Amino acid sequence: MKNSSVKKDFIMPIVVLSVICLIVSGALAVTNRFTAPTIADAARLRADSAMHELIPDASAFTELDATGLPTNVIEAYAAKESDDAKHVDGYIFTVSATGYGGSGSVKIMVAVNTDGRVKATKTLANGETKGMGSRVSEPDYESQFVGMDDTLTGYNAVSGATISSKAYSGAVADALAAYKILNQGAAQ
Amino acid sequence: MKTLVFIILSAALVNNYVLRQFLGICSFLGVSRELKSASGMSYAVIVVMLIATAVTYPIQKYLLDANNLGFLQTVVFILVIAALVQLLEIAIKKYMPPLYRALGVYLPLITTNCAVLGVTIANVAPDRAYTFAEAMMNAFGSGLGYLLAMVIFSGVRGHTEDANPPKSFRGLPLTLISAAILSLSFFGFSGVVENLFG
Amino acid sequence: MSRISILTKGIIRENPVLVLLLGTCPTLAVSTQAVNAVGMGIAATVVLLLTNIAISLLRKIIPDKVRIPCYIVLVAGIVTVVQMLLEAYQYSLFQALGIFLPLIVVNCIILGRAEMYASKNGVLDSALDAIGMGIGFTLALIVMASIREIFGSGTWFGVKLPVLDTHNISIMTMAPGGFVIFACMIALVNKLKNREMSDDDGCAGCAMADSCTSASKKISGEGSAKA
Repeated sequence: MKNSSVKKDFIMPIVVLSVICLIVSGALAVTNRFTAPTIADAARLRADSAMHELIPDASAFTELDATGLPTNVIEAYAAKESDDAKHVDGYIFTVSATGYGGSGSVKIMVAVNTDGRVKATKTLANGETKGMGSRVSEPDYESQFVGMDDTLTGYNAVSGATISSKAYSGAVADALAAYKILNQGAAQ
Repeated sequence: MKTLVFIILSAALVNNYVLRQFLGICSFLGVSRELKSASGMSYAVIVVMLIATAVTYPIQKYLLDANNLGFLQTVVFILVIAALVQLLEIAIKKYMPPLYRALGVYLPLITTNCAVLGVTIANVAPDRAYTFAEAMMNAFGSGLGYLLAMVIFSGVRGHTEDANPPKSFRGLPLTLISAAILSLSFFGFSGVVENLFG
Repeated sequence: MSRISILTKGIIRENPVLVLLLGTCPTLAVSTQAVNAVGMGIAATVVLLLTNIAISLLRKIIPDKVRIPCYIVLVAGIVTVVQMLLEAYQYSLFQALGIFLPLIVVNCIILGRAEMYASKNGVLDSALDAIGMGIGFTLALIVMASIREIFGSGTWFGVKLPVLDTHNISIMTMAPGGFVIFACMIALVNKLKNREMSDDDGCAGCAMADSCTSASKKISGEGSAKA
């Protein structure tokens, strides 16, 4: 009698909870198996289409070694007309910067022309305060970088959102610095 | 050091969990009627946020990420928080009875408080790349922001109770309108942080 | 209660957001755009339906003592599945919902319905209850998001609206706007239902209501005893 109440009070709850945990984990592992490739494919496709949007003329983007570039630069790509073309049409850098939302809360892609000027920028992620810092992703702010070189002459921050603007413009500056490093490497 | 202070201030003031990001609204509305319960609940939230981050951050980095088990994040985190709250309740009941009398009633509410699960998930988000110290500061700052919102709001509610609004606005709608005004006033803090760090 | 009324009660009479006042956090957070509201509504409905079915099936097996942990694990598992599917096939929605997707786990609508309905009723009834509650949640979200998007951004489901587009009130899409619109919607429901709220109302539908009230009550009791 006593034995059965111990079983009922302690063993059963633990067994049931553990079994449920196991079944749930198993089900998740199976789902993960099926969705993981799709998620990876979709991510690649998104990155490709974002790059294509920035440099429409190019159709091949070769990933470059990002070591030695500013630490905020996560990825670097060379844009070419085709995979085996020698001529590089421009570079694309994925840069993450620290805003209010923590490091990486502003993540952008910067396309740099071969003359060292910004061709276009695109926001990949913006975790800044809605209606305030989030305005750095609006065309009014983003489009001003087009044609700028690394002096960022004529740059205007979004008023009332200095820190988010600083994160964004800093990311653009990092991309231009990364371009310089790559270009020097190529010249030598 | 500057980064850590910035993380605390922006989590507490600019990205205030309750007033800006809408996390933990239930408890914000439910337990803010009096200063004493508002602050008690907030202290409990801060303690659990810190301990939960200290536990879930290494779990994510060294157990889940290392073994490609990232998909178990939500399940593991909520279980860890639930277990932690239980253990904390048992421990302080046994060893710190005065603390238990102060915080005990709030602990059951914390498991399902989305601010706690929210902060642990945000701290390990891949696009943030927080270090352990930064994650702890973010947890502390978020908790501090929760405390600030709760304490201020309990003061506001003391006054709205005596107010005489239109019949259909009585109770929760009036409380929500007050929350809106408080949330609006928090916009001012972004200017302060801007000037300190901008 | 007839099957049809189980289904329909969640839509209007016991609307989870506007009448039972559950799930306030996601309601306020994702209602900036109508598209996100639809996405969140559908995601939550699917989770609610699956958990209600699972819990109703397991209600005789799950021991009372570990009831809540069991529910939480089940909900978390189902939420993660939904999360993975969205990331794979609906990435923009996945990104827009952000942290509120995993936070469906602690959405009080889900746990509330599990505790109050599915753990006591049969599978079919629980499923109908979930669908009704899910539709009610989705509709409330859509209405609120439409108001905020139309006036705040001058668009509706992303389509630009004439005049409003250039005369938008952007505070509507920010946090204070969310609180105000939500307050007005509840006030409207109060008016229509001829309901008068006291300061204590609003938590009855929540699974945690008892702990919440006792937390407030106990302290105020202590305070007055000392005074």
